[in-house]
Amino acid sequence: MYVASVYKKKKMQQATTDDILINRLRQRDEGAVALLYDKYAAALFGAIVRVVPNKAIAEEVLQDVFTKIWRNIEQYDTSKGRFYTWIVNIARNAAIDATRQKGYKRQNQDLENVVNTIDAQNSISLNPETLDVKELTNHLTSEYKILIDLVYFQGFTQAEAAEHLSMPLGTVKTRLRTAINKLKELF
Amino acid sequence: MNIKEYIESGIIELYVMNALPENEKAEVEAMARQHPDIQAEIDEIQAIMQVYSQAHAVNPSPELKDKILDKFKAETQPPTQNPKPKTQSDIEHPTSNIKKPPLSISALLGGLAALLMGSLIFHFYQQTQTLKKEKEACEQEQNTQKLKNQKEIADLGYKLDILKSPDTRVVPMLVTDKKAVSGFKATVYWNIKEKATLLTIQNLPKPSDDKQYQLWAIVNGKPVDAGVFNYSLTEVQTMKPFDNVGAFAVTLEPQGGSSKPTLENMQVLGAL
Repeated sequence: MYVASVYKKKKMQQATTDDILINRLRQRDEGAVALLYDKYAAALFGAIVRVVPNKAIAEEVLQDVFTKIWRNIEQYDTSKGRFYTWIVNIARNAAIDATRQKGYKRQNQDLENVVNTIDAQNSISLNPETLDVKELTNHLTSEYKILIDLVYFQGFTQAEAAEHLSMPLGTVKTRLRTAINKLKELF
Repeated sequence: MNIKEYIESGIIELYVMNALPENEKAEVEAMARQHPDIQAEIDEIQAIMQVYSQAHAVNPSPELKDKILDKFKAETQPPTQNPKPKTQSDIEHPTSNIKKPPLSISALLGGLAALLMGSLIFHFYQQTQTLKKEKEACEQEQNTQKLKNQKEIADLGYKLDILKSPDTRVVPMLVTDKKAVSGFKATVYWNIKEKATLLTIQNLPKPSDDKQYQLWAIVNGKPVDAGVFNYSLTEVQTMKPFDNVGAFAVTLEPQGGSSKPTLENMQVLGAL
């Protein structure tokens, strides 16, 4: 498949450049922060605004995330997984923490609406390859999309997602598996 | 629970999405260390979620980048070289009063940086290629080993069938030299139906390096070569097959064996 081959090629390049990036961050090279920003700020911000729709607060969270990556880079363990998995975990946790701050007003909006408006409103300037993927992910039915959003972006636990969507605990697991399998097919 | 079921259960997805309690997280990590298939699944799902997440990227305000970079500059020591000319921070940072290097030098620096980047990229590309080749060689070696193992298992299964078969005659080989300690020294298993001949050594003396043991089948009163064998006390060795055998004998021959037995070197003999 063409998309798959592009994706694999990209993955290879990414592995190399991530290594350079991580090394430079470990060497306390400030220039690496700019690289980190160019490469991942939009993706991380995309994850953050799903939890904190208020753009000003979300930007504060993003700043916080950059500081955390810079300070904790020694804790990143290559053997445990991809660099992006690590930084998106930091972003998710920071975003959730922000909603727990005193004075934070949770916007009482239906989640599906939030996600759809975010996707529709924001200008996304990405390279064509990921735009293809975005196009593709739109083929996921909304029930799968909501489930991934809840668990991956919003940081819901299995039990919380089950309660929120009023489905049995086991169904959350199997649905998530099905959703990822569908993404596998698309990629 | 087998590995496939474990993977299919959806627990890896929850792990990658960081939605598992600590104890279950540790469990998945332990499983991944034991089973490469699980680690591979984790890697794949992490890669998929990265693409998914990047596809849902949202650009922050354009001015945020400078804001963050400035914050970093303020936090770490002020830069000693190449201060970034910025009108706003001119007032705050006296260092930026240092004369800007002429354009030609910065252009040169830019060119050098590009060159460096280029050679770095080339270097990593080469490294990736080497690793890829090494990986392929490893995989090939693994396949060869796998085939070898499969063959060995099939061979052992076949030998076991012969040994268990009621059609197999067990022929103890006894010492021919009357002066030596009596007792059987080797055993031949001959299967009449399969025409298969197997051999085990119990306590033959170890031959010198230039010598090798050879098995003979006595067919119609004449010795027929049944093959040379290794000096191994653990192996069940396959020898040449025969239709009709009166006896088996073992002689000590030069390395590679002989076409006719050296009868004075006959070690053991077993009659059927």
